[in-house]
Amino acid sequence: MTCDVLGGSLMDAGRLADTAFGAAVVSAGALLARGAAAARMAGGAAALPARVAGGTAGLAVSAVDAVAPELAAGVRRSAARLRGTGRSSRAELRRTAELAVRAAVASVAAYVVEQVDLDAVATRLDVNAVAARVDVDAVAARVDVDAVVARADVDAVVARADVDAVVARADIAAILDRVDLDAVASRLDVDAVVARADLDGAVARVDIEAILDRVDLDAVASRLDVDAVVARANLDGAVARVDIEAILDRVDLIGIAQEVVDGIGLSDIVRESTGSIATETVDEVRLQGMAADDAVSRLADRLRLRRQPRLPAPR
Amino acid sequence: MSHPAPPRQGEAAGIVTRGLAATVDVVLVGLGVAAVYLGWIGLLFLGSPTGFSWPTVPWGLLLLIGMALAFCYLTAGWATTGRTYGAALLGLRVLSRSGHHLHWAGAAARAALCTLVPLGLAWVAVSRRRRSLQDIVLGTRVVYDWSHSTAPSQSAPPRPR
Repeated sequence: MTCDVLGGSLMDAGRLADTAFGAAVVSAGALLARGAAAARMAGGAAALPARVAGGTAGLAVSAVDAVAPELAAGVRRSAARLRGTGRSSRAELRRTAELAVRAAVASVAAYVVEQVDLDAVATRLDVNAVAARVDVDAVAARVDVDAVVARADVDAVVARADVDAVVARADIAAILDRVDLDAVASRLDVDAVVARADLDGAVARVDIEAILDRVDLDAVASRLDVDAVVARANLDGAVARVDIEAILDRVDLIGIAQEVVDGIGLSDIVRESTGSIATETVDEVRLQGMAADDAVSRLADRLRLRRQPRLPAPR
Repeated sequence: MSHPAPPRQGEAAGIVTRGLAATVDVVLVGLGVAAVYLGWIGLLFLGSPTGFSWPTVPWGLLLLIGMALAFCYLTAGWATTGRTYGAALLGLRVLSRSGHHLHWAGAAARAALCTLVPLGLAWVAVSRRRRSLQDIVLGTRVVYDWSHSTAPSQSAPPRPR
């Protein structure tokens, strides 16, 4: 009698579980979230009859203990079997419910994807709001930058980049204002830079004429302290390195000398000076000759012992 | 360049200046004789180079050549400018009795006397009027004249009577 009652109770509990399972399936088919909640309720509903059955069996055992020990033992065994059966049924019901829910979710998801207009959704999506809600710092903190960089094809990126356009859009002045050039310069190894630089090639590409056209040489010269430059210059060393012979080979010394001679009239000067010297010499010889003539005449007068002086020379 | 006026232009030249001028002229004549001699040697060499031998020229011949050159040289100089190179160098000029250049005949006569009797120049030293033997014979005189013109200097006074 008690077993029948207990069996009936168990059957009722099974039907109630079937009913709860059907309700859970229906609920899951209606809405994904609600289906999941219904599944949890169905699991709870299926567990409730088992727990009721267990409680009822406990009450029956207490009653039977009061009636007869054997009957009580039989009832305990029956109750133990019923508990085992209830546990297995409950586990089976849970697995079945989970499979049903998964199948339902997959079906519902496929249906939803087919029915939903993603373009419309994207159109209605407020990306700014989404972005505002995104914790960029947290995202960035989770990004493995090293891995990203290691996987990036930097060469390809650079090759595709329009560097000219980027440079054209860059505010160089603003960038320079933010750069501590002194610090950069202090860290710069100028010797290494110069050693690596192709100065000859760079100079060959420089348009010196254009640079000179833009330079105000008068202003530069007016600011130049020539005395200081000369004072610092090693003129002796510079002159010692000068190939004087090469310079002289390039200079038309004969032409320059000819121009100088023509300019100062050296030939006329030499001619006049030579002629003057010769004339003065001849005049001196003539004067000395005159004096000698007079001396000889006086001597001749004394030798002749003339009483009267010599007559003056005819004029 | 201006020079001071030469002194005593037109006065009779003494033995020293005339002797120096004669010395210069003798040297020039000697150079002329040497040139003639070397020219003659050159002609002999060109005429027979293989059989050439240095000829021996008698001194008398050289003296005659020198006298001939001196005659021509003195005649040309006195007849054209009144001075030889030696006279021009010492500032002397030979004038005629009238105070002009000698004619060719007078110049030739004076040149002949100077060539044949060169010691006649020594009479200048004892002459009161500084006249050589040639001057006394031909009536010429030699005066100081430093001018470069071929004509006698205007300051040259005429011969005193």
